Order: sequence, then C-alpha cells, then structure tokens
Amino acid sequence: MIGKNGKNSIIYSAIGLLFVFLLWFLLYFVVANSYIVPSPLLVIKESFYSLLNGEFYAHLLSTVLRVLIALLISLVLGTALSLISHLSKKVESVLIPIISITRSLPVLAVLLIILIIAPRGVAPIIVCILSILPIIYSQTLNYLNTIDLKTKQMLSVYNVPLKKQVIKVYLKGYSPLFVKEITSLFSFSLKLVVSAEILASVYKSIGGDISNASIYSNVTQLFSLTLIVCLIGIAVELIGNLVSNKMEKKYK
Amino acid sequence: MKIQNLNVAYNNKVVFNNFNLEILNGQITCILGSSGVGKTTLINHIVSLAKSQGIKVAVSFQEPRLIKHLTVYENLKLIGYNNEQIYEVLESVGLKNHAKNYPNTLSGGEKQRVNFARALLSDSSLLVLDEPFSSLDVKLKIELIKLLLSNAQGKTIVFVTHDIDEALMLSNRIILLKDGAIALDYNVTTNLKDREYGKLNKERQILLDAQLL
Repeated sequence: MIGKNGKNSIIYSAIGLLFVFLLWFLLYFVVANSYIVPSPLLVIKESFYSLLNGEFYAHLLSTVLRVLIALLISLVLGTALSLISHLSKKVESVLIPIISITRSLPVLAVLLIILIIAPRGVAPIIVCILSILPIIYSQTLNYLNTIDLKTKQMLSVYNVPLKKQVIKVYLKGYSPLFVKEITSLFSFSLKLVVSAEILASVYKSIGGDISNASIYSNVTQLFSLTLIVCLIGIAVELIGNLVSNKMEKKYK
Repeated sequence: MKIQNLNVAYNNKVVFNNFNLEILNGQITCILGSSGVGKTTLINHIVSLAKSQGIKVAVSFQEPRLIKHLTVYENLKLIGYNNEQIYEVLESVGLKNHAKNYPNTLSGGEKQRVNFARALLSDSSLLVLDEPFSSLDVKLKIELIKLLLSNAQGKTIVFVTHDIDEALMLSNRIILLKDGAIALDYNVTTNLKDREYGKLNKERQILLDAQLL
C-alpha cells in the first residue's frame, strides 16, 4: 500500500513532469525547428515504438546491467571500506587522500585513458565505479559516525560480537537510508554509464543508440531515448523513496 | 574490586582526587549522592575496571540505550539471550505484550524497564545499575526492586541513586558521595526481606544528616 507521503511524492513528481512537458511544448512552438526541438508528441510516439521493439530491450538490458555491476562493486567496496575506516582511524587517514583524488577525477577524461587498456563495454563500468564509490564510502561513513558513543559503550559492555554489531546495528539501521541513496545513485549511475557509452561508442547499448541517432541526425529518436533514460531514473528513485519511507515508518 | 587513587577532572573541575573504594563481592553496594557529584563517572570507572579484569558485567544505564530500529525482543536478542529467557524477563517487568514493539512506541518508564530487563537477564557476576528506577512510579519501583533482589543471589551489585529510600530498600552498604569524597560508608543491618519502602526512618535520618553536613 502506498501511504499519504508516497501518494504526495507521486503527485508532486507528476506535476514536475507535466511542467517540463509544458516548457518543452513552449520551446517547440517558439523555436519552430524540429531539428533543434522536436515535437513532444512525436517523441512520445517514438518512445512507444522503441518500447515495442525487442532490440531496444536488449540494448536497455546491457546498459542497465553495466549500471548494476558498477553499483554492486561500488557498494561492496564502499561499505567495506567505510566499515574498516569507522573501526580504524589509521585506515581512515590513509583513505582520505585516495577518496579525495578519486572524487576529483574528471571521469569522462579518464574514460579516454581507460579505453586504451580496457574493452569498450567495460570502460563505462569503471567510470561509474570511480564516480560513485567515493559517494557510497562517504555517505556510509557519515552514517556510521552518527552512532553515538553511548550505544557503542552498551554494545561493548554486553560483549556483542562485532559481526552481530555490523549486521544488526550498523547495516540494519542504515538500510532505509541505504535504499534511498542507492536508488538515487542508480539514476546518477544510469546517466554516467549512458554518457560513457556514447563517448566510448559502445554498440548494442542505449548510449550506442543515442550516439547513432546523433550521427544520423535523428533528433526525435535522440530525444525519445533520453526521455526513456530520464523516466527510468525517476521511476527507480520514486520506488526507492517509497520503500525507504515504509521501512523507516516502523520505528520513527 | 578495588578502586585506588582515582583522579578525574572535567574542564579544570576536580571530580575525584585520590579516591579509594573497595567493592565487596556478593554485596549490594549503593552509591548515593546528589546530581553532579560524580556517581555516573564512578560507575563508568567501575565498569572499565571490571572489564579490564575480565569480570563479566551487565549495566542498566541511566538512559535506556535501546537500538531504535530493533524491536524490544530484538534488542534483548542482540545481547544473546534465548526466546524463553526473553519472554520470561519481559513478563517479570510487565512488558510481555510489548515484545514486538519498537522503542519509539514505548513510554520513558517502559524503555527503562527494557533496559533493566536487559541487565537482569545477563549471567554476569557484576551488575551495575545507574538510576534504574528514576522514571518509574513507586508501585512499579517496589516490584522491580523485589525482582532485582530475587535475582541478586551470588551477584555483586553496584547501584547508583539519589533516592535515599531506594538505597535503603536495596543495599547492604551505602556509600554517600559528597565533594568527590566518601562522606559516609554505611552498612544497613536490617534484613533485606524485612525492609519496606520509605519506612526505615532511623537509617534515613542518619543518611540525611550526613548529606547535610
């Protein structure tokens, strides 16, 4: 069941989307050049055609798979590193400069270097990991640092094993925020992977399809693919917020 | 357990200066004193000392320190108790029907009872209680004191309070703290089973006089 807050967030998102479409319509009439701004109706029609095409789903799957692989690797690495940093200040000190450097990397420029050594299909995954790993690391570490000393003292007094502390106290407490963050990172990662796919000309992917549409000046398809990517990102983020709110509602 | 030459200061304010205290095994020792006298500081030191000596210790904290995303049952399960033990102790503190509730749905007194139950369940040889009955009404306070006494056999209990009647109801020995030192070290001679809450007038007067000195 969707609660009142969930319904509200769906309504507000729908209003936001409607506003974007109205703005698009306005631009379409003002510019009056379908090679620059195509008709929203034509783009929606093109999107439906894409959704009826089996090949599109294969390409979408390959892009989403890259996103999921990057997210999974970043999650495992980011969570493990933040847990170790939380338990050892020395490790945290060593990791601070490494994370800062990773965070400030111009990832699309790095992509060009990665392309020299890695296959085209793998490069977007590496770029995505380099971008989201520092975010996952910092957010998880911030959460862990909010657990107060008194709770830690209680766990220590009762000799709660570290494994149990990590699973039951740290990770379980973090899970609602984690779902929210991970779904929000999904749309960010999708954006990154698609951009990297365009730049790396990865065939049989959404980025590759966008790149082709651009080469053949098929602006309607270009807009339609971009719209689909945006809507997938928004939908995942919305679902994540609903799940996270439901999880948090139990004890807040 | 011996505390020797304890020195503690916060922001240049001396709390304890060369403080010495011996906690006797198997006794219920009460640390009595007004707010800010250093009672919690002292029991934190006792807990650290006990752990450093390998003594198994359980603490009923001044604030319940329950994990907010775990139910009452899960909070107790976290410590390693089994189902039977958990439901038994919850029944004894009157919270059996709250096992599946999250701490945010409990009142202050109920949270304190879970905190108390958590300490009571432990098979530790040292039980430290930091104002465990502070947010409870007198009836419940007396029930829990009786429950504590029935579980006290063979355990060393260190109990902190600012309530003289609580101290007299529960303790074999009362340490009255004042200005970072022991103002009175008093052994309560009346048998624990014969004590009634608020009725030990002679002993009460002795403690009040020492507190006023």
